[in-house]
Amino acid sequence: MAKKSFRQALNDALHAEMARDPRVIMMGEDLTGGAGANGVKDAWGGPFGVTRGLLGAFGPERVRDTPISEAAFIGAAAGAALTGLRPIAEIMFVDFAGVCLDQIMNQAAKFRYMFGGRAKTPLVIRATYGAGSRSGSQHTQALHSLFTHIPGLKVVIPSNPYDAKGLLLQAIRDDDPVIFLEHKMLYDTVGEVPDASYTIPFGEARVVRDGKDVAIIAIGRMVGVAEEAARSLASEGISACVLDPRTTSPLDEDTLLEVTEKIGRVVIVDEANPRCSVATDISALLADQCFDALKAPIKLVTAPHSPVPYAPNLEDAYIPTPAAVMKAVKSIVKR
Amino acid sequence: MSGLQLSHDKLIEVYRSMRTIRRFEERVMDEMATGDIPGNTHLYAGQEASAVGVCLHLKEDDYISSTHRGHGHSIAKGVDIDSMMAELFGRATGTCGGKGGSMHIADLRKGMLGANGIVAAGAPITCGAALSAKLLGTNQVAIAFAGDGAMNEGVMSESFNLAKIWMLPIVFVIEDNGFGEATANEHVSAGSFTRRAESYDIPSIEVDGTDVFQVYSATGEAVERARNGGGPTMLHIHVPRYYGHYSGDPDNYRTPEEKAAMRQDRDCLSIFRKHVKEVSLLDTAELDAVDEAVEAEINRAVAAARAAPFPPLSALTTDVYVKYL
Amino acid sequence: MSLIEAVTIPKWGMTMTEGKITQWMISEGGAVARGQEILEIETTKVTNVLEAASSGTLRRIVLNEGTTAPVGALAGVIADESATQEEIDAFIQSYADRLGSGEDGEAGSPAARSVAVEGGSVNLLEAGEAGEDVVVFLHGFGGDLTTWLFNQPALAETMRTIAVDLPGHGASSPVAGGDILAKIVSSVEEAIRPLAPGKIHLVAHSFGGAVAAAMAARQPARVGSLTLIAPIGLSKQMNRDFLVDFVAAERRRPLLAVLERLFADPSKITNDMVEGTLRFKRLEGVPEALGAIADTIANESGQSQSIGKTLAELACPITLIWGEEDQIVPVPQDKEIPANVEIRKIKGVGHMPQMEAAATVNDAINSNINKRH
Repeated sequence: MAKKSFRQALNDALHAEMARDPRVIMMGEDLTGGAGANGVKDAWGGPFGVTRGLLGAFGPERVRDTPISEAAFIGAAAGAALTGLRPIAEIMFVDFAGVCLDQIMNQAAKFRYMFGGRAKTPLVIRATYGAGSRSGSQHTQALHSLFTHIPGLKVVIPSNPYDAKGLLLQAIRDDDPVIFLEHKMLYDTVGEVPDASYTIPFGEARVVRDGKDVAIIAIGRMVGVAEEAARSLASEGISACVLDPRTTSPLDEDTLLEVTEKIGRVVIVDEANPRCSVATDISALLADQCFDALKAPIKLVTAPHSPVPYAPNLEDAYIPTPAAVMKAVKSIVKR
Repeated sequence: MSGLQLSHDKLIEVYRSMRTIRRFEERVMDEMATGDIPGNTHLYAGQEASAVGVCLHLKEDDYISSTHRGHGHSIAKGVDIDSMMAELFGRATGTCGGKGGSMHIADLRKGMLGANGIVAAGAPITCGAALSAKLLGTNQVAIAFAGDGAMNEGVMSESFNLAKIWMLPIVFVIEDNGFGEATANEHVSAGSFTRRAESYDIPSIEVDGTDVFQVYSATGEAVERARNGGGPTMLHIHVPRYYGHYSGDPDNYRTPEEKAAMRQDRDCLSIFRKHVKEVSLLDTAELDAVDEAVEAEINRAVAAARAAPFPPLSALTTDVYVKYL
Repeated sequence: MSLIEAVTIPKWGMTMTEGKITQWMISEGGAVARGQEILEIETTKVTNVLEAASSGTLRRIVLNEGTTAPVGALAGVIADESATQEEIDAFIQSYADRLGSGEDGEAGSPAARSVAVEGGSVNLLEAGEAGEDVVVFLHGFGGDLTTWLFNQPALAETMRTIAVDLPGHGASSPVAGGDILAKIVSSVEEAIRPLAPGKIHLVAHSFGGAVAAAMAARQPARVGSLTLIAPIGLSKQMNRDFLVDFVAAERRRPLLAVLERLFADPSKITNDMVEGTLRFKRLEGVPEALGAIADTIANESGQSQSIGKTLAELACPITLIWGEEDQIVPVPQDKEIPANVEIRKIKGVGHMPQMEAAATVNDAINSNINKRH
């Protein structure tokens, strides 16, 4: 099987689905790059190269470079979804969601419910997220908690190339609004990805690694961090199970509960800020439903309650590390 | 502008539609006092000629989006008034099963993309519907209704820009009733709406919104431009808002004199009656018969709404998604 | 000279490079009988138990529980009482030297590859020294060549082997349409002919048994022996729900519940096994292909295939291997087994004897291949 990058896996999915379904269209800033200019077309293929080649394959009517008007084009994507198209809109950095939050939160998320079930909004909003690129506070946030909170939205966070392709295909075929979050530091990671199309259902966690002493639940880029911690822990005789929820809405509660019941010790790793986050959400769920099975408090390894700093040493300290995960694990494993 | 180009039946339909809106809104105001219509509504009375004159050009599958003041647009577009009244009463038989309420009335089968509780939010959504129409090659057009207050939301300007740059089959209908909620338009809007549209190279037309024939004529130009691939137009339609911003608004920021004058001098229904009488298109008896018929329909709608069940408790959590798991 | 035997990390699966020792079942100094389970090892693909190759005493545990080590590494030493401490130490030392020379290194690890066939490609894994005769492994419904994790390496020690991903399975391209069994048989024949032009010994599991029987029927002279593990087509009875549920399971937990029915000991199923099966089942075209194959295998009234007559007419040695606790395709009655066919039943094992009782199955395969008639 071919090894592909996370970026290539996403590109695969976009090509495949644009070819399969003529109702799929794409819009976003610099999806191609060079539109309206005199030089090379598709100069960028997207700010991170994810959408390369789509212009050539499908043309400018279906692959649209937008003005810098998130509220307008995200709203247009929502309206197009209501009326027969299946748009994939891109918010370049999830931080920019502030500019168009009304169209996501009050419009797209709520059409179906407000209209008594007589509408559907098959919209995908792709956005990059996450720290590590030295881009400062407004280009580095992890905002999945905000979107997970909103009923009517689905939130998808792939951690590896194989999942990225399958989850994106699923997202495009899904009839509900999906917020599809791509960690910018994962684009170059590589893994085995089939050439054929395949979908991964939402609300289906992956057991990344089996283990019996502690369960480490990790989100997005933190899955790799958890895997690294688990490997180091293994050499110290601690067997860690690593779980990747893949989607925070819907959340695979059954698997998380089942594993917690079996193991009784949980660490949750989430790059987002700690107040009112997916980490605290999962923690509350487990504490409520697995209280008797828990042998230790649930430990959360998160960023601090601060914006993302610019200085490299500070940014690196902001992001949860394998060492931090190991420390949390050891604090509960001996109990 | 005369109504000579409209057939007899069309003229009756125009009057009937405007009259239905007027009486619907007045009746809603009455029913609110009984407590059977919960929450608040934003009444369209006075602005009828705008909704009706615009929607006269539209086919059932053409799109409109509306504002928080959406009853008039809904009725003009052909949304069933029984369902609308039931929706206001919060009943299961409402357009949205009782789950939307006044500000979220929608009927996609009639191309009605929804009233909206967020000012100006309908503009980009309508751009999206227009984009759909363009890409699917259906020759549909999309109308975004908005108020003078909406003109100062950033997303309205963004929508003008997007509509023009993408040459979308859309008409922006700005119903200027002089007030954004309780604040007069002069107090908050710089420049002019026309010049704003024209700064995007979007043709704009000033319209007296108490004259349904003027509205009809201006809309004709805009819709034709849209259907022919000519891109967006803005109609700046001046209308009176008879009631306060919302049904409980004491509306004391307007003087009794100006409010009385408004109802006297700027009543699209009496202006219509006068005009058709002048040119002998319809006679008074016919119009009075319409009044009676409308009254009966509204009575029926209210009775039906009052008798209808509330949604079951299970409806609280249904239709959040098409399919969650 | 005393007899000293190495207990080493075994090679389970052609791509296995390392394993983790999870449990020693004998303590240092304990007595060991040949064939006794002494060491539990976990790999990414599977957890299984190693049996002692000789009798004696477990004189030294070299690698403790929790240690991960490469294939071939010395885990412990079995010797009889007469071996001295110095001899044991020297033995261990010689092993350390040998491992350093990279004898069992990555260079020797074969990789699966795709060969083109009409309408697609067939993925297969070859191992073992080139030879006249080739052992061809054919897995069952919903499986892939990793079914033979514990068998292919053992057979490859003495023979050339090819394990195939049947069309519509593993990394082979999908099949569709009618007459699916015939299509599968053709594709497999086309794939292996250039690689195994001479005699082939077919080792097949479950649905693969029908494929093997069909291949043998087409070219009886080419087939040196048939070893069929719980094949379909000998009796009417089978658990059709398994097929239906396997195709229907789209998520991990329901699929795990289905896979558990395959084994007498469900703890044999690893997370990787489940994930691998899910990934296969999600590929476009696979659910349809599996559904079509399931329909070929059975309908409401039971099994649709019948291989008894074909087997009866073959001259080559034919052995059936069956787990007595097979919940999927139950052991056929004696009258359903043709006279020229031998059957070996294994106690305490389900529908996957090749995994649950690998040593016994490997023995049986070798015996069958080496039969002279």
